[in-house]
Amino acid sequence: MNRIVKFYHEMGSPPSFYRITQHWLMPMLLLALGLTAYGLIEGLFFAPKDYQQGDSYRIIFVHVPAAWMSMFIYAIIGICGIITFVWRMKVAEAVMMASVPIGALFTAVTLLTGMLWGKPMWGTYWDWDARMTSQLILLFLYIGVAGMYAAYEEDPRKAARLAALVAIIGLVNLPIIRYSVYWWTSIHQTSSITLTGGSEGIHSWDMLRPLLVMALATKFYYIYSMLTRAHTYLLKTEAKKQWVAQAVSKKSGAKP
Amino acid sequence: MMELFDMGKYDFFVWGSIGVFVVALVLDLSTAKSSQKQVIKQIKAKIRRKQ
Amino acid sequence: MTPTRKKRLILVLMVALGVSVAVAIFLTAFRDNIMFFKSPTEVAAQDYPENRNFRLGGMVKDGSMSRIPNSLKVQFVVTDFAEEVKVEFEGILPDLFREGQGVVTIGKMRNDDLFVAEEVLAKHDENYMPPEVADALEAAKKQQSNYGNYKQEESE
Repeated sequence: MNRIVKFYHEMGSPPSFYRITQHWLMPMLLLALGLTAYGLIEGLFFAPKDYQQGDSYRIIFVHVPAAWMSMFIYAIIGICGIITFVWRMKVAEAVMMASVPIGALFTAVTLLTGMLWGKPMWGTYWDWDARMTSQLILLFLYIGVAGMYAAYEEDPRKAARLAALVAIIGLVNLPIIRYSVYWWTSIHQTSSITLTGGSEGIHSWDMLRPLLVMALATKFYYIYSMLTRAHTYLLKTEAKKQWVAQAVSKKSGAKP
Repeated sequence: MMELFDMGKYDFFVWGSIGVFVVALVLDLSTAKSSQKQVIKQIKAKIRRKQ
Repeated sequence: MTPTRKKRLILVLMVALGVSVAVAIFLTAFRDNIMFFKSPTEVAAQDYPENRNFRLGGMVKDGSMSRIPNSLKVQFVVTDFAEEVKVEFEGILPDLFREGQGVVTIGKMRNDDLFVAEEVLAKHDENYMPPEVADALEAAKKQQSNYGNYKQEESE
């Protein structure tokens, strides 16, 4: 128990957060790359065809993991936003702002791959149905959080608090995205996999496995990308502190 | 080998989606890395100026 | 105004603008696609907008699809298993369009008995499986219903 409390306190202080998570980067990147390679190769070449959609359903192996990440990352941004706003924790600010680019990117990937899937199957690239509209609004929210921060960039603490406010308000959109396909009937089908309902919609393990592998791969990649940016954020905002000078000089020692 | 890459009449859509995914991740990785390098360079320059 | 303040003002205004655009998009989409999404039962009850496009959703009735000779037009019946609406469409149907499949059509009613669609979208469900599994499921379903009939006959 004591170790958990100690870990918690260490993760709250920028120097020890930086020191501890630095060792996570390489394993996370390697896991992400390995699992992505495995998931894509199996999903694209070895998973069976779908009985209705043929090969076009293989878009699921990038579309669904990206969609899950777009919401998962926003949830983390929201939680860090609350911590930032209430407790003013620097590490939470760093994690929040470091998550924005990768979350926005996953949202854009979800929208684009969804369009590429919608054209051949539904017959249109885009339709203003509730799922697609709320996902597009998620992209605007990511841009809004980043824009708010950029507006006050010369005062990072204030900028982070204002960005956190936008992020917290935007949390409302997450349940709307999640349940849009149940609340409003339109073109997008309901979920094939849910945390509570299991994977009822995917009837073959050979289809499900690559999908779950890709879901894991994107999680690991997110951790890698977020930590890299969070480190940069802390180095930049704490530039005058002693630990930053040490951390930076150590970096040059490893790579001349 | 070539039939492995064949997606019926959906080549453009499937490979386009995979392309979007891969390009996005490469873009993220390179911007994360380059901004880190830039910040470290700035801090080092500052330290050198002080010495 | 100092340059920083100016930049700040512009960015905050852009955030506000973005949020309003998002809300506007959501409300328009809501109005057009959720309020004006009608089932065949609603259409049969005359509950649809007269002079504007609306969405008619349902299943393509089995055996109802036909091509009108010497034209690119197709006709089919959209059903919700309670009421039916005849639909006419000229254009390319999506790959997933087939009888027994869900469909969303966008268009207007003509003379209360024909829906003229400008756009036809195919809807699919959340199930994914290899063809063998689909066949096996289908066979199992048939067998089960045969078995059910048999049991019913037996009890009679």
